[in-house]
Amino acid sequence: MKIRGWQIDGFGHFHDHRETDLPDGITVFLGPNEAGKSTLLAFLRGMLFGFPTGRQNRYEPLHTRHMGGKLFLEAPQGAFILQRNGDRKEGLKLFRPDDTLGSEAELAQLLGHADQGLFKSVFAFSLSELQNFDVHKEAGIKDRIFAGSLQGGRNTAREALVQLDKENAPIFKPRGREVELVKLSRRLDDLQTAIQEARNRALDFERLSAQEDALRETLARLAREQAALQHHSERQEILLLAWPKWLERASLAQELERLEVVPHVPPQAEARLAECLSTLKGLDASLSELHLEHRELSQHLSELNSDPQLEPLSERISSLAADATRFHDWLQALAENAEQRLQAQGELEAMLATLGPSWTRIRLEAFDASIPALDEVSRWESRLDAAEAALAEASREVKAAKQRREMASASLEAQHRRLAQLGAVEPSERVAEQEQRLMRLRAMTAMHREGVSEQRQLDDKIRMLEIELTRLPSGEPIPLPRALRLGLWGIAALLLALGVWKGLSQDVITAVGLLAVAVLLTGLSRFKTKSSGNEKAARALLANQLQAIRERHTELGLQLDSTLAALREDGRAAGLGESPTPVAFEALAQAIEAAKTRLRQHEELGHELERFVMEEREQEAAVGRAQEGLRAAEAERARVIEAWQRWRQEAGIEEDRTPKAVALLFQALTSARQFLATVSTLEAGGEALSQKADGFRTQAHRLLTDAGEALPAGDMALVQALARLQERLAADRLVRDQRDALKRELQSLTLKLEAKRTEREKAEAALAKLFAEAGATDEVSFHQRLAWHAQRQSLLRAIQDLDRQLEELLGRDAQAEALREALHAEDVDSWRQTLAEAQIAQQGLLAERDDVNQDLGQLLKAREEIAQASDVIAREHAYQALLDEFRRQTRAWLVRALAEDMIQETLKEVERTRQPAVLSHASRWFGEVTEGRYQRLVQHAGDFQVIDSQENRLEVEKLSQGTAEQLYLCLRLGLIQEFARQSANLPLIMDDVFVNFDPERARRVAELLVAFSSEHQVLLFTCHPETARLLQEVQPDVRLVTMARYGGHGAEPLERRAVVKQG
Amino acid sequence: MRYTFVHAADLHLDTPFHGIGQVSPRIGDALRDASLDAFDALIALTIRVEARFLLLAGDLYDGINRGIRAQHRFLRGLERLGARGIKTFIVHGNHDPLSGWSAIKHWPEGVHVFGAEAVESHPLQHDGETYATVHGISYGQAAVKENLSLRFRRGPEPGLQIGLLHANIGQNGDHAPYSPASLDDLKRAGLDYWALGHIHRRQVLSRAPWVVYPGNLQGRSPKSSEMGPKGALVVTVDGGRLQEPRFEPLDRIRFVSLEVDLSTLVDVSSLQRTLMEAAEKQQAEDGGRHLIIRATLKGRSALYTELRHPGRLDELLDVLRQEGDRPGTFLWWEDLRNDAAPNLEREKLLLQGSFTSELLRLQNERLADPASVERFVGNRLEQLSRFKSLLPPMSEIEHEALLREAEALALDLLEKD
Repeated sequence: MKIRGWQIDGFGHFHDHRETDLPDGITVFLGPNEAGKSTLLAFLRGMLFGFPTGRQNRYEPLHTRHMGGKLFLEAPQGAFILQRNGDRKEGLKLFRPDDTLGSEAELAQLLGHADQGLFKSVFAFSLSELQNFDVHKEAGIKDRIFAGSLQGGRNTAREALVQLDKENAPIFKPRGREVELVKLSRRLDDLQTAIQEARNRALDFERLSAQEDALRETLARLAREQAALQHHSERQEILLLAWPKWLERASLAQELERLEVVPHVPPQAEARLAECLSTLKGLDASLSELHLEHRELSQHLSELNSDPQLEPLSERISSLAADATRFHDWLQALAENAEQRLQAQGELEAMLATLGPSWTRIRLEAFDASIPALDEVSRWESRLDAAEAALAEASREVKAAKQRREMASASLEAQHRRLAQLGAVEPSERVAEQEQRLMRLRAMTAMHREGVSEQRQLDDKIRMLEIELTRLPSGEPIPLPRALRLGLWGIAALLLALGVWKGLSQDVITAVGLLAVAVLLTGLSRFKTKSSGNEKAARALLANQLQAIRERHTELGLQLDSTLAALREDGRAAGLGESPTPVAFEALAQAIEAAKTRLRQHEELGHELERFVMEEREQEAAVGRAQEGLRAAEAERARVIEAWQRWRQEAGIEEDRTPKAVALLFQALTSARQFLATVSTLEAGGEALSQKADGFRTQAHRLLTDAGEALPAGDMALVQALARLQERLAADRLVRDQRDALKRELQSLTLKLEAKRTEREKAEAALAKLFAEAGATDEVSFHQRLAWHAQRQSLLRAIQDLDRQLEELLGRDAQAEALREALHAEDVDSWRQTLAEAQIAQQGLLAERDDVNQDLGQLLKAREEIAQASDVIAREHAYQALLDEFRRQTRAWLVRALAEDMIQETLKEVERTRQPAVLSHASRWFGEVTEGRYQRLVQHAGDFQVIDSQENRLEVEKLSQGTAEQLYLCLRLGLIQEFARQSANLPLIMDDVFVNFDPERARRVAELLVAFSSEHQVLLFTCHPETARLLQEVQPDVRLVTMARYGGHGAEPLERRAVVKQG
Repeated sequence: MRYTFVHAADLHLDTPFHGIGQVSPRIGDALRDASLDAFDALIALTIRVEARFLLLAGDLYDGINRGIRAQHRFLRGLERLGARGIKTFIVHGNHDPLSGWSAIKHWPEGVHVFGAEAVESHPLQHDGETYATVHGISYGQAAVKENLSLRFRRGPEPGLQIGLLHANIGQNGDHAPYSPASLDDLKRAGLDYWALGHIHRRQVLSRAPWVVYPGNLQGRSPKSSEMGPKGALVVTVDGGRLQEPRFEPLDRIRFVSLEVDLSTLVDVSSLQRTLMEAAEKQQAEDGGRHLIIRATLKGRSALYTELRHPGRLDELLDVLRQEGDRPGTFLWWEDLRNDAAPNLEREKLLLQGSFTSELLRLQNERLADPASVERFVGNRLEQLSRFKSLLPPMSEIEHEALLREAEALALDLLEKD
């Protein structure tokens, strides 16, 4: 941003004052004291950041009521007009390049967010402000110095600290009273108190428990009294309840006295009498029925008769009747057996005819054609087949071996031909020797070449060292002639005196030049004297080096001669002459390679030939082995055939048959033997059946004879006669069974009649005994005595029942006795009176108990409420919740505070250790201004130190005032440069800062400012024309604005003119 | 003979939950009643499994000033067991020593409270046959430093022999070293089953003999030992042989932790959705119980900056809490911990030569030296010294965690867009 001009409506003694078209570089405002330079500086500050108010405002307009004006600004976006007046509300207006109104934030952006303090300290300052040594300690300035180092990725450390402080301040400050943590801790204290109060209230529980114990004791006492009264009432009630029963018992006892006593009544007398009478009547009826039945049975028995002859034969008749059915089956089976036997005998005859005439039934039965014999025939067949197969295989093997032998002979012949084609080859030892020689030749040639090269380099070095040695003096120092040295000293003294005189006459430059030449002359004479010692040492060093190189050269020459001799000898031996060339080496190498290839081929063919010879020999041997195997196979077959013939003859087979034919014969013989077995089985079965049928006939004839029956003719008639005899036997058995049954029945009836008679006699005796027991003589008197007895028993039971009821009421203990005595006394009215009184007393006790119970209920309810009350726990929960919140906030505060500490610590570390760009610029410019007297600026313990050309450190306080001001000016220039780089390029405005600078330093400062103004606008107020002049000298086209004294109201318009270079 | 008994410990009846923060009244009521409800569930379980007896191994209450409400509820529960002929054996621990105030004047039928003077032995009989003997001893005072297990010896009675004790076995550092004992000390006593209390994490220290901590009945804070299912052990004895104790969860409110990786999430609403889905899945796995959830956000993400913004995490927490405070079972979000890191590569930042690089270099030096960490954090803790009684003691690990969080915050502030 540049300031192009201003319009002052009213400010101090300025009114309607206007300045425009200020350039980019330096503008000098030259005016005498009271021209308004300081006022103008204050105006510019006020326009940009606000006018001072109240007592601070020393610039109230003298000639108008309106304080303020306009600033004409230029920024990269275009020309802005900043308008400000004393009215705070409507004070500021910023007109954009397009004449629209901008905001205060836009102004801040134009100013790179520099605040008033920073602007006043760095950009717009007076001489007194320049002298302020503490300016660099302000945080804002400090940040600018270290701007690059304090920057995070996006934000500065200061911004981060501000943010953290903003978040943490409301939570906790070490001495803050109304911060959040303090408030929370107070609330926690309050809750703790409330919890304690609630706990104290719970102590009432114990007091109520004590009251409960007292009430329960009262209840127990009332219960005891109540029990006593209850007992008394109950006694009276018992007497009143027992009294009617007591009277009834007495009446019954009198009635019992009046009845006749029956000493004994038989038990169950009525029932027993009825039972005796009933038994007698039943027995009489039974006796009559038994007599009648006995007569009828006797009659029937006499009418039944049986046959005595049949009984002894009954078992034989039954047995033969059972065998008659089987007899019929035997006859039928005999017929079937005869038929089957005829058929089987026919088939056997046919089979024997097939086998041949020599095969009869007898030979067939004797011949063994079992399965083991068959297996042996199979084994003979296998052995004969195996002998045949082995013979065929041996023949094939002989043929194949002969073919392989012929192929091996052909291969061997072909290999002989290939070897003959290759021809003769060189011996391998000679080829290897040539190869070794070639390698040696090549190595020696390379060594010789390198040795020659090194020898040449050594020659060059020897020559150079010799030349250098000759250039050096002989080694003795050459002092300057005394006259010359005195002359030089004299000239130096003269120049020194002249310089001092020039210095006194203020021609500083000439004086300094003269002094410098004097010092140079003095130093020249001393230098020459010192240099002579150094040359001597250099000469000795060179001589040593030369000697060492020469020795190496000689040694190398000897080595080269030896190598060359060996080279020539090997060259001759290899046939390459004494000076073999690389081309000759290559030809020899190819020849060696060709010889090696032929050697390898010859060797490979030889190996193959040996292999073929071996192969042919092996095949010849194989043919011999195959023929021998063939002979063995033929012998084996003959031996097996002979053995078979022997076995066949021993087996009874006379015909010359093969094993297969013998096996077929064995199968036919096996079938024939099966037919033979069938015939034999049928013949044996027919014989057995005939024997059984004959036995049956014999037994049947004997039985019929014994039973008196006639003998029938034929097997069927025999069976029918047996059936008839069996029917006769069955009818006779039925008659005999009926007779036996009737006899048994008659015997039983006789026994029953006897028993009934005995039973009737016993019943009559029992009835007589019953009457006797009751003291009666007959049935009528018996009934009369029983009635008397029953009435007495009834009275006795009633009395017993009353006794039991009285006992239930009165009890059995001593108290019961007392009650009985009271009943004897018969004082009924007294009992009623006492009961009424006890009941009244009881009601009183019950009322009292109800009252106590009510009190107890209320007490228990109160205690239950305390027991159920959860206010303690509720408050403890609330306390805990608040404590959690307190801890959460504390932790968050702690994290932020630690983050703040980390950033603060890093800030200190960065300030301590890093050389920022600001100091780098300032160091350079300060060195230029002081002509290298001071080299650089450093930071130490928060302050600056300067390092001079001798590397001495100096505190700023130890610098002269002018030098210190130059230092702070350079620092400000550095800050402005860095601010421009990072934020905004703002103008530098200074008020008479050259006052304490000496002319030389002033010029250098002027040069610095001119150079600085190439990038930054500079407005310089001064009352010293020489300052303006100096700047004009450094930069002739500098803009100069002159100001009149009292330049505000009533002064002549400002004059603008160029300043003519003076002197 | 086959029978069952129930083993529980560390009931801490009617004690406040820790680390939950402010909750809605409805959830507050549930939290307040949780320990008592869990105890009621224990009584119901004991009745349901037809246990012969219940073993309570200390710390029935949380403090010497036992709440009346808790004692009242406790008494009613034991009366229910007594009415069914189920016996209860009680020892007291460091939180509820015998010297504490008791509102219970008379114990119901079948309750036996062991004294503090000596180990008492209580044989149990069925049909005239002694089938088990319970040995136990209570704490007379809160801090019992004596190894009480050395006083236990197997008795001559036939059947199972049980030791009931509140003790710290094997020097568990998470709990106070009361009645410290080693596993070998317990084995030497020759008992069959050690019913222990004191350690809140359920564990079986030995199977021959059985040495068992059932854990506490109801979790009380988001500490790791209080997380997950809590309840009692049902132990079956068949023919004199102990079977593996079966755990029965009885807690009404369960503490769980969730971890969510921010690196794949694009904005706060997707984070909210992810968190709710994870919580509902967890609730289904926990049988639909009330859950108190501590969620930790992990991973590198641009969301770190968004959530670090003052109040932003609290806003998300509020939304989640409102959503979780629904009819029926609730999901209460105890805390959202932003352990994520800004989407910045620390190693790259360390090498770029900027102010941030210098900050990270100094931080690396600090973290390499525990004394330096202690000093750095200690300076700030000193400023909070007046709140010392309100703050939990912090370990070295916690100091380092604070520094890492502070580093993430500083990086975010210096490097964020």
